[in-house]
Amino acid sequence: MATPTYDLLESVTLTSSAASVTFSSIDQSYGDLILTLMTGNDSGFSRQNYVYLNGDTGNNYHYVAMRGTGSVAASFSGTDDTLVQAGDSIRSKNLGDMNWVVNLFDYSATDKHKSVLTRLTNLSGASDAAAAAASRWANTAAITSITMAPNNTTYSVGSTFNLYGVAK
Amino acid sequence: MTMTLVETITVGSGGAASIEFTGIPQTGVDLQLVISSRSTSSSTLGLIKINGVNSGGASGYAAKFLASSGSSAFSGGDSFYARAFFANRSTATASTFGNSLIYLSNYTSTVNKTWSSDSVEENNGTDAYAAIIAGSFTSTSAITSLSVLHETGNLAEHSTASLYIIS
Repeated sequence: MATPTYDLLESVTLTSSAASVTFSSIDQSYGDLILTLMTGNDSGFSRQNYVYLNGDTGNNYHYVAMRGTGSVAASFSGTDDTLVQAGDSIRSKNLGDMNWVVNLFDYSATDKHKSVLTRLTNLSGASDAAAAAASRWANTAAITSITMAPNNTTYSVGSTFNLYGVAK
Repeated sequence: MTMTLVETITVGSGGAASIEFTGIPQTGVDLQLVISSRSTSSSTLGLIKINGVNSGGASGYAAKFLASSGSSAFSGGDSFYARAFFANRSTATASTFGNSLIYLSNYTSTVNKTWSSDSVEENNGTDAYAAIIAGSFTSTSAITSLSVLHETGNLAEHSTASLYIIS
Protein backbone atom coordinates (compact mmCIF):
# COMPACT_ATOMS: atom_id res chain seq x y z
CA MET A 1 0.00 0.00 0.00
CA ALA A 2 1.35 3.41 -0.87
CA THR A 3 2.36 5.63 2.02
CA PRO A 4 -0.12 8.46 2.47
CA THR A 5 1.57 11.74 1.65
CA TYR A 6 0.98 15.00 3.38
CA ASP A 7 2.26 18.04 1.55
CA LEU A 8 2.63 21.24 3.52
CA LEU A 9 0.79 23.73 1.32
CA GLU A 10 1.10 26.77 3.53
CA SER A 11 2.55 27.51 6.95
CA VAL A 12 2.28 30.75 8.86
CA THR A 13 4.07 31.62 12.07
CA LEU A 14 3.21 35.15 13.10
CA THR A 15 6.07 37.56 13.66
CA SER A 16 3.63 40.33 14.51
CA SER A 17 0.08 40.32 15.82
CA ALA A 18 -2.66 39.75 13.27
CA ALA A 19 -6.44 40.11 13.31
CA SER A 20 -6.84 37.16 10.96
CA VAL A 21 -4.96 34.65 8.85
CA THR A 22 -6.21 33.46 5.48
CA PHE A 23 -5.00 30.60 3.33
CA SER A 24 -6.13 31.55 -0.14
CA SER A 25 -5.81 30.14 -3.65
CA ILE A 26 -5.61 26.66 -2.15
CA ASP A 27 -4.14 24.08 -4.52
CA GLN A 28 -7.04 22.01 -5.89
CA SER A 29 -5.08 18.90 -6.80
CA TYR A 30 -5.28 17.02 -3.50
CA GLY A 31 -7.93 14.70 -2.11
CA ASP A 32 -8.36 16.17 1.36
CA LEU A 33 -7.00 19.00 3.47
CA ILE A 34 -5.71 18.94 7.04
CA LEU A 35 -5.49 22.16 8.99
CA THR A 36 -3.61 22.43 12.29
CA LEU A 37 -3.61 25.44 14.59
CA MET A 38 -1.76 26.40 17.72
CA THR A 39 -2.64 29.94 18.67
CA GLY A 40 -2.61 32.54 21.40
CA ASN A 41 -4.27 35.94 21.50
CA ASP A 42 -3.39 39.39 22.74
CA SER A 43 -6.48 40.05 24.87
CA GLY A 44 -5.20 38.35 27.98
CA PHE A 45 -8.42 36.35 28.03
CA SER A 46 -9.68 33.17 26.51
CA ARG A 47 -11.23 34.13 23.18
CA GLN A 48 -13.03 32.17 20.54
CA ASN A 49 -11.49 31.52 17.15
CA TYR A 50 -13.69 31.94 14.10
CA VAL A 51 -13.04 29.83 11.03
CA TYR A 52 -14.75 30.47 7.68
CA LEU A 53 -14.62 28.70 4.36
CA ASN A 54 -14.39 30.79 1.20
CA GLY A 55 -15.10 33.86 3.32
CA ASP A 56 -18.65 32.66 3.98
CA THR A 57 -19.97 34.18 7.21
CA GLY A 58 -23.58 33.28 6.44
CA ASN A 59 -25.78 30.78 8.27
CA ASN A 60 -24.49 27.84 6.27
CA TYR A 61 -22.70 25.59 8.74
CA HIS A 62 -24.40 22.61 10.40
CA TYR A 63 -22.85 20.37 13.02
CA VAL A 64 -23.07 17.64 15.63
CA ALA A 65 -20.49 17.68 18.39
CA MET A 66 -19.32 16.10 21.61
CA ARG A 67 -17.30 17.46 24.48
CA GLY A 68 -15.69 16.05 27.62
CA THR A 69 -14.66 18.43 30.38
CA GLY A 70 -13.09 15.85 32.63
CA SER A 71 -16.28 15.40 34.60
CA VAL A 72 -19.13 15.91 32.16
CA ALA A 73 -19.74 14.30 28.77
CA ALA A 74 -22.04 16.17 26.44
CA SER A 75 -23.34 15.98 22.91
CA PHE A 76 -25.07 18.76 21.02
CA SER A 77 -25.88 19.88 17.53
CA GLY A 78 -26.86 22.94 15.60
CA THR A 79 -27.94 24.23 12.23
CA ASP A 80 -27.49 27.47 10.40
CA ASP A 81 -24.36 28.41 12.29
CA THR A 82 -21.98 31.01 10.94
CA LEU A 83 -18.64 29.28 11.35
CA VAL A 84 -16.96 25.88 11.40
CA GLN A 85 -17.62 24.20 14.74
CA ALA A 86 -15.03 22.43 16.84
CA GLY A 87 -17.27 20.85 19.46
CA ASP A 88 -16.35 23.60 21.88
CA SER A 89 -15.40 27.21 21.78
CA ILE A 90 -12.02 27.17 20.11
CA ARG A 91 -10.50 29.20 22.83
CA SER A 92 -6.92 30.19 23.14
CA LYS A 93 -5.14 32.52 25.48
CA ASN A 94 -1.52 31.49 25.63
CA LEU A 95 0.51 29.75 22.98
CA GLY A 96 0.55 26.02 23.66
CA ASP A 97 -2.87 25.90 25.31
CA MET A 98 -4.69 24.43 22.38
CA ASN A 99 -4.30 22.10 19.48
CA TRP A 100 -6.90 21.96 16.76
CA VAL A 101 -6.77 19.40 13.96
CA VAL A 102 -9.28 19.75 11.14
CA ASN A 103 -9.93 17.34 8.29
CA LEU A 104 -11.71 18.78 5.25
CA PHE A 105 -12.84 15.99 2.97
CA ASP A 106 -13.07 16.09 -0.83
CA TYR A 107 -12.61 19.83 -0.64
CA SER A 108 -12.20 20.40 -4.36
CA ALA A 109 -15.46 18.70 -5.38
CA THR A 110 -18.11 20.94 -6.89
CA ASP A 111 -21.03 18.52 -6.65
CA LYS A 112 -21.39 18.06 -2.90
CA HIS A 113 -21.58 19.91 0.39
CA LYS A 114 -18.31 19.81 2.31
CA SER A 115 -17.77 17.61 5.36
CA VAL A 116 -15.43 18.74 8.10
CA LEU A 117 -14.20 16.66 11.03
CA THR A 118 -12.50 18.43 13.93
CA ARG A 119 -10.69 17.40 17.09
CA LEU A 120 -9.91 19.96 19.73
CA THR A 121 -7.53 19.99 22.63
CA ASN A 122 -8.31 22.94 24.88
CA LEU A 123 -6.31 23.11 28.10
CA SER A 124 -6.12 26.85 28.50
CA GLY A 125 -7.54 26.86 32.01
CA ALA A 126 -10.84 28.17 30.69
CA SER A 127 -13.45 25.63 29.65
CA ASP A 128 -10.85 22.85 29.43
CA ALA A 129 -12.06 20.04 27.22
CA ALA A 130 -11.47 17.33 24.71
CA ALA A 131 -13.94 17.84 21.91
CA ALA A 132 -14.81 16.70 18.43
CA ALA A 133 -17.33 17.78 15.84
CA ALA A 134 -18.64 16.77 12.46
CA SER A 135 -19.73 19.72 10.38
CA ARG A 136 -21.25 20.30 6.99
CA TRP A 137 -20.76 23.45 5.00
CA ALA A 138 -23.91 23.77 2.90
CA ASN A 139 -22.18 24.79 -0.27
CA THR A 140 -21.07 22.80 -3.31
CA ALA A 141 -18.25 25.18 -4.18
CA ALA A 142 -14.68 23.95 -3.96
CA ILE A 143 -12.91 25.25 -0.89
CA THR A 144 -10.43 27.78 -2.17
CA SER A 145 -9.78 29.74 1.01
CA ILE A 146 -9.86 29.29 4.78
CA THR A 147 -9.96 32.29 7.11
CA MET A 148 -9.19 32.15 10.83
CA ALA A 149 -9.82 35.06 13.17
CA PRO A 150 -9.99 35.47 16.95
CA ASN A 151 -13.04 37.21 18.38
CA ASN A 152 -12.39 40.91 19.07
CA THR A 153 -8.65 40.60 19.47
CA THR A 154 -5.52 39.68 17.54
CA TYR A 155 -3.47 36.53 17.29
CA SER A 156 -0.27 36.82 19.26
CA VAL A 157 3.25 36.56 17.92
CA GLY A 158 4.28 32.94 17.50
CA SER A 159 0.83 31.60 16.63
CA THR A 160 1.13 28.90 13.99
CA PHE A 161 -1.20 27.79 11.22
CA ASN A 162 -0.39 24.85 8.95
CA LEU A 163 -2.34 23.62 5.95
CA TYR A 164 -1.57 20.20 4.46
CA GLY A 165 -2.81 18.56 1.31
CA VAL A 166 -3.34 14.81 1.43
CA ALA A 167 -2.49 13.17 -1.86
CA LYS A 168 -5.29 11.31 -3.67
CA MET B 1 7.40 17.82 2.51
CA THR B 2 5.75 14.64 3.58
CA MET B 3 4.63 12.34 6.32
CA THR B 4 7.77 10.36 7.02
CA LEU B 5 8.05 7.22 9.09
CA VAL B 6 10.78 7.67 11.68
CA GLU B 7 10.56 4.24 13.22
CA THR B 8 8.22 1.38 14.06
CA ILE B 9 8.91 -0.53 17.26
CA THR B 10 7.29 -3.86 18.09
CA VAL B 11 7.32 -5.32 21.58
CA GLY B 12 8.94 -8.73 21.75
CA SER B 13 8.42 -11.81 23.84
CA GLY B 14 7.81 -11.11 27.50
CA GLY B 15 6.45 -7.62 26.96
CA ALA B 16 8.10 -4.30 27.75
CA ALA B 17 7.63 -1.49 30.23
CA SER B 18 7.67 1.08 27.42
CA ILE B 19 8.41 1.82 23.80
CA GLU B 20 11.04 4.52 23.42
CA PHE B 21 11.64 6.92 20.55
CA THR B 22 14.80 8.92 21.13
CA GLY B 23 16.78 11.35 19.04
CA ILE B 24 13.67 12.48 17.18
CA PRO B 25 14.77 14.51 14.14
CA GLN B 26 13.98 18.20 14.54
CA THR B 27 13.20 18.66 10.86
CA GLY B 28 9.42 18.45 11.00
CA VAL B 29 6.41 20.56 11.93
CA ASP B 30 4.14 18.03 13.66
CA LEU B 31 4.40 14.46 14.98
CA GLN B 32 1.97 11.60 14.60
CA LEU B 33 2.11 8.50 16.75
CA VAL B 34 0.19 5.37 15.73
CA ILE B 35 -0.18 2.74 18.42
CA SER B 36 -1.49 -0.82 18.52
CA SER B 37 -1.43 -1.77 22.16
CA ARG B 38 -2.43 -4.30 24.78
CA SER B 39 -1.67 -4.06 28.48
CA THR B 40 -0.48 -6.79 30.84
CA SER B 41 -2.70 -5.27 33.55
CA SER B 42 -6.40 -4.67 34.02
CA SER B 43 -6.05 -0.99 33.12
CA THR B 44 -6.97 0.27 29.69
CA LEU B 45 -5.35 3.70 29.98
CA GLY B 46 -2.11 4.48 28.21
CA LEU B 47 0.35 7.30 28.70
CA ILE B 48 3.04 9.06 26.76
CA LYS B 49 6.20 10.44 28.30
CA ILE B 50 7.80 13.48 26.71
CA ASN B 51 11.52 14.11 27.00
CA GLY B 52 11.78 11.58 29.81
CA VAL B 53 9.43 13.43 32.17
CA ASN B 54 7.23 11.04 34.13
CA SER B 55 3.57 11.70 34.88
CA GLY B 56 2.48 12.66 38.36
CA GLY B 57 3.00 15.48 40.83
CA ALA B 58 4.12 18.73 39.29
CA SER B 59 5.15 17.11 36.05
CA GLY B 60 3.34 19.64 33.88
CA TYR B 61 1.02 17.17 32.18
CA ALA B 62 -2.76 17.56 31.90
CA ALA B 63 -5.34 15.60 29.99
CA LYS B 64 -9.07 15.31 29.46
CA PHE B 65 -10.84 12.47 27.70
CA LEU B 66 -14.30 11.84 26.37
CA ALA B 67 -15.18 8.18 25.91
CA SER B 68 -18.14 6.16 24.75
CA SER B 69 -18.79 2.56 25.72
CA GLY B 70 -21.68 1.92 23.38
CA SER B 71 -24.21 2.45 26.13
CA SER B 72 -22.93 5.52 27.93
CA ALA B 73 -20.59 8.47 27.50
CA PHE B 74 -18.26 9.68 30.19
CA SER B 75 -15.43 12.11 30.68
CA GLY B 76 -12.37 12.15 32.90
CA GLY B 77 -8.88 13.50 33.29
CA ASP B 78 -6.58 15.35 35.63
CA SER B 79 -3.59 17.65 35.85
CA PHE B 80 -0.91 15.08 36.54
CA TYR B 81 -0.96 12.31 33.98
CA ALA B 82 -0.15 12.29 30.28
CA ARG B 83 -3.10 10.15 29.31
CA ALA B 84 -3.03 9.66 25.60
CA PHE B 85 -4.69 6.41 24.51
CA PHE B 86 -6.82 3.40 25.41
CA ALA B 87 -5.55 -0.16 25.09
CA ASN B 88 -6.98 -3.62 25.49
CA ARG B 89 -6.58 -4.94 29.01
CA SER B 90 -4.89 -8.22 29.90
CA THR B 91 -8.17 -10.06 30.36
CA ALA B 92 -9.36 -9.20 26.86
CA THR B 93 -9.76 -11.91 24.24
CA ALA B 94 -6.40 -13.13 23.01
CA SER B 95 -4.91 -11.26 20.05
CA THR B 96 -7.09 -8.18 20.51
CA PHE B 97 -5.31 -4.84 20.62
CA GLY B 98 -6.42 -1.22 20.92
CA ASN B 99 -5.66 1.26 18.16
CA SER B 100 -4.78 4.90 18.60
CA LEU B 101 -3.63 7.89 16.63
CA ILE B 102 -1.99 10.75 18.53
CA TYR B 103 -1.25 14.07 16.87
CA LEU B 104 1.29 16.43 18.48
CA SER B 105 1.53 19.92 17.02
CA ASN B 106 4.62 22.09 16.68
CA TYR B 107 6.93 19.72 18.46
CA THR B 108 10.04 21.82 17.87
CA SER B 109 8.46 25.04 19.11
CA THR B 110 9.28 26.90 22.31
CA VAL B 111 5.69 26.96 23.53
CA ASN B 112 3.83 24.37 25.58
CA LYS B 113 3.09 21.12 23.78
CA THR B 114 -0.39 19.73 23.13
CA TRP B 115 -1.79 16.59 21.61
CA SER B 116 -5.10 15.22 20.45
CA SER B 117 -5.83 11.54 20.24
CA ASP B 118 -8.38 9.22 18.66
CA SER B 119 -8.43 5.87 20.37
CA VAL B 120 -10.48 2.66 20.29
CA GLU B 121 -10.41 -0.67 22.08
CA GLU B 122 -12.83 -3.53 21.62
CA ASN B 123 -13.01 -6.93 23.27
CA ASN B 124 -15.11 -9.36 21.32
CA GLY B 125 -18.31 -7.50 22.08
CA THR B 126 -17.93 -7.63 25.87
CA ASP B 127 -16.55 -4.13 26.23
CA ALA B 128 -15.49 -1.39 23.91
CA TYR B 129 -14.44 2.21 24.11
CA ALA B 130 -14.08 4.90 21.52
CA ALA B 131 -12.39 7.99 22.89
CA ILE B 132 -10.95 11.35 22.09
CA ILE B 133 -8.26 12.73 24.36
CA ALA B 134 -6.86 16.22 24.79
CA GLY B 135 -3.47 16.54 26.43
CA SER B 136 -0.86 19.13 27.20
CA PHE B 137 2.66 19.32 28.57
CA THR B 138 3.94 22.55 30.08
CA SER B 139 7.39 22.77 28.58
CA THR B 140 9.12 25.13 26.19
CA SER B 141 11.63 22.50 25.12
CA ALA B 142 11.39 20.81 21.75
CA ILE B 143 10.26 17.19 21.86
CA THR B 144 13.35 15.05 21.34
CA SER B 145 12.09 11.81 22.86
CA LEU B 146 8.76 10.09 23.33
CA SER B 147 7.82 7.02 25.32
CA VAL B 148 4.67 4.93 25.10
CA LEU B 149 3.59 3.09 28.24
CA HIS B 150 0.60 1.98 30.24
CA GLU B 151 -0.69 3.54 33.42
CA THR B 152 -0.18 0.20 35.14
CA GLY B 153 1.41 -2.95 33.80
CA ASN B 154 3.54 -3.41 30.72
CA LEU B 155 2.98 -3.40 27.01
CA ALA B 156 2.14 -6.91 25.91
CA GLU B 157 4.05 -8.76 23.22
CA HIS B 158 3.14 -7.69 19.66
CA SER B 159 2.18 -4.17 20.74
CA THR B 160 3.56 -1.69 18.20
CA ALA B 161 4.12 2.03 17.92
CA SER B 162 5.06 3.99 14.81
CA LEU B 163 6.30 7.56 14.87
CA TYR B 164 5.85 9.83 11.87
CA ILE B 165 7.20 13.28 11.22
CA ILE B 166 4.97 15.61 9.25
CA SER B 167 7.09 18.22 7.60
